[in-house]
Amino acid sequence: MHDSKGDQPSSVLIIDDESEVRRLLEHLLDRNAFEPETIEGGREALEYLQNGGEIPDAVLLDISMPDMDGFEVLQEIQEVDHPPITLILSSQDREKAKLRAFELGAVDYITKPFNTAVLVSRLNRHLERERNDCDPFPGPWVPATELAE
Amino acid sequence: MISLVSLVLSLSGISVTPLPLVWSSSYQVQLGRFVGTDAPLSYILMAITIIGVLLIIFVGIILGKSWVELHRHRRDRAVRRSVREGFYEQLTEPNPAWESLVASLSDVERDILIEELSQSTQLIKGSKTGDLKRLGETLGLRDEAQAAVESNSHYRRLWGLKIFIQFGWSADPEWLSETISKDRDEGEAAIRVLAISPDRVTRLAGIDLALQYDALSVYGMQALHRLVRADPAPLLEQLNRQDITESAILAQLLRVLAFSDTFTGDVPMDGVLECLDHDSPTVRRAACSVLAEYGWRPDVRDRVDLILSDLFDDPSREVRIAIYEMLGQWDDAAAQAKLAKAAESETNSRALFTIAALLEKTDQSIAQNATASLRDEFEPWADVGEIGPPLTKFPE
Repeated sequence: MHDSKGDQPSSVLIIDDESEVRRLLEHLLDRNAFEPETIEGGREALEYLQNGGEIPDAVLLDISMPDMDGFEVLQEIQEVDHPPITLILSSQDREKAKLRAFELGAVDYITKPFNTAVLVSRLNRHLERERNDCDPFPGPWVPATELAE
Repeated sequence: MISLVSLVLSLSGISVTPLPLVWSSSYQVQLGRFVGTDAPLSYILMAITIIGVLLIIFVGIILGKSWVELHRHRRDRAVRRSVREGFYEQLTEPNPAWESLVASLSDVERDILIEELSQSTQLIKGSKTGDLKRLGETLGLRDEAQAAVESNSHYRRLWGLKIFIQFGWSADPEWLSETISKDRDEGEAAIRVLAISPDRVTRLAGIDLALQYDALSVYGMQALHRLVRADPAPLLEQLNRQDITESAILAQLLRVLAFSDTFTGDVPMDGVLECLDHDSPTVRRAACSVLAEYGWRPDVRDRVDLILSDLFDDPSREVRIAIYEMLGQWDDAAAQAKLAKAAESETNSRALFTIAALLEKTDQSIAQNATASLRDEFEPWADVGEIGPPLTKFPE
């Protein structure tokens, strides 16, 4: 997956305390032409983002982490300049958790265990949409009815 | 003792000169007092030497072991990384070549791959689970699990069943029922294995397994629910035989039934209806929760109508509440009329409140009566003051 700046692959920051998840995602995203970075805990990730670390194009964020709740991390991420799109990847499948994540600015909520192909596809779609939204020279607006024709 | 100490010291490479007995007796006394004994000085020094030597040996062993462990850990880490990379590499391929990967592994690497595979089965779902299953089979895990279930060890059998569940491998119901022991953990795990490919045969086998026990654990109930939820007809047939004597398991089977689909064909509901007359209030309550889901069946409605006045007189408040909830769930004019009738004779405020909540849209007066009844019940011991308007729904 390449970003709008050219042929550079989209960078994805994986924040998860489970090493198996980090490793699997890192490999999966790397194989799908992303540029993955992994961080073990929420606090460490925030320090990285708030202290001049490179802001990624997307973040894959776990909710249940020992040092800092994923929701808090999500909230703080939204306050960064040009916040990255954030997808939650959690084993919590409760409606309340999902609603809270969306309220705090997550663009998607994927539950563990996850389908690897679907995860990559959703990530691609969100990044694509984000790029189109930020496109400084968008094409002319075409009504949906005309598109259908 | 002295010769033993000398031997230890000489073996340790420490030369000991015989103690010069030129010390004055006052030094000896002082040292003796210092270590809290009146033993001769030579003995004290020897004891100190022995302890020192033993400490050195002990520290040496620890340092040596640590070094070996560190070395092993470094080597394991490198091997683990290489195995993991090979595994992920194949996993992300459309058609993983597991056979060649497995063939290239040593025993240690194979164990590492099994660990990685085991973790991945808990992380990945979808089409890739088929690839993981295939890897499990290539590694021989299915055969190992089968052998483990057939073994004499309880823990090996549980491990084998766990592997079947983890990889979603179905097993022959007959083999499973004959192989496992009477232990409940094993039986429940076997029910869960049967739930991997639910059909009539596995459902009947799973119900038979469940009936071996006086009661199931929560895990067992979940496993049974998973097995029968799409077609609970075999469970209804079992209840119709009315040969379950243990009320705990009977109530649990009814609970499972209450949370299952209701597409059961023409299977009679006699077994469940008979449970309304059971000695145990838990069973009667559970039967109500099942019947609440079958309000669309005329035979069920007719049978309940015949005994409804008796049901309203049930001595257990919880059972009466379950009956009201059943009528509330049927939610038609006939059921609502029966609920309103029940409110006339109901004296318990909580039960009355249930009726009020169920009838809130149609009969406000019942809700008001319920509120007044609640006030009467509370005021003698608590200053609740004005309760306010009648409650129309339960607080969340």
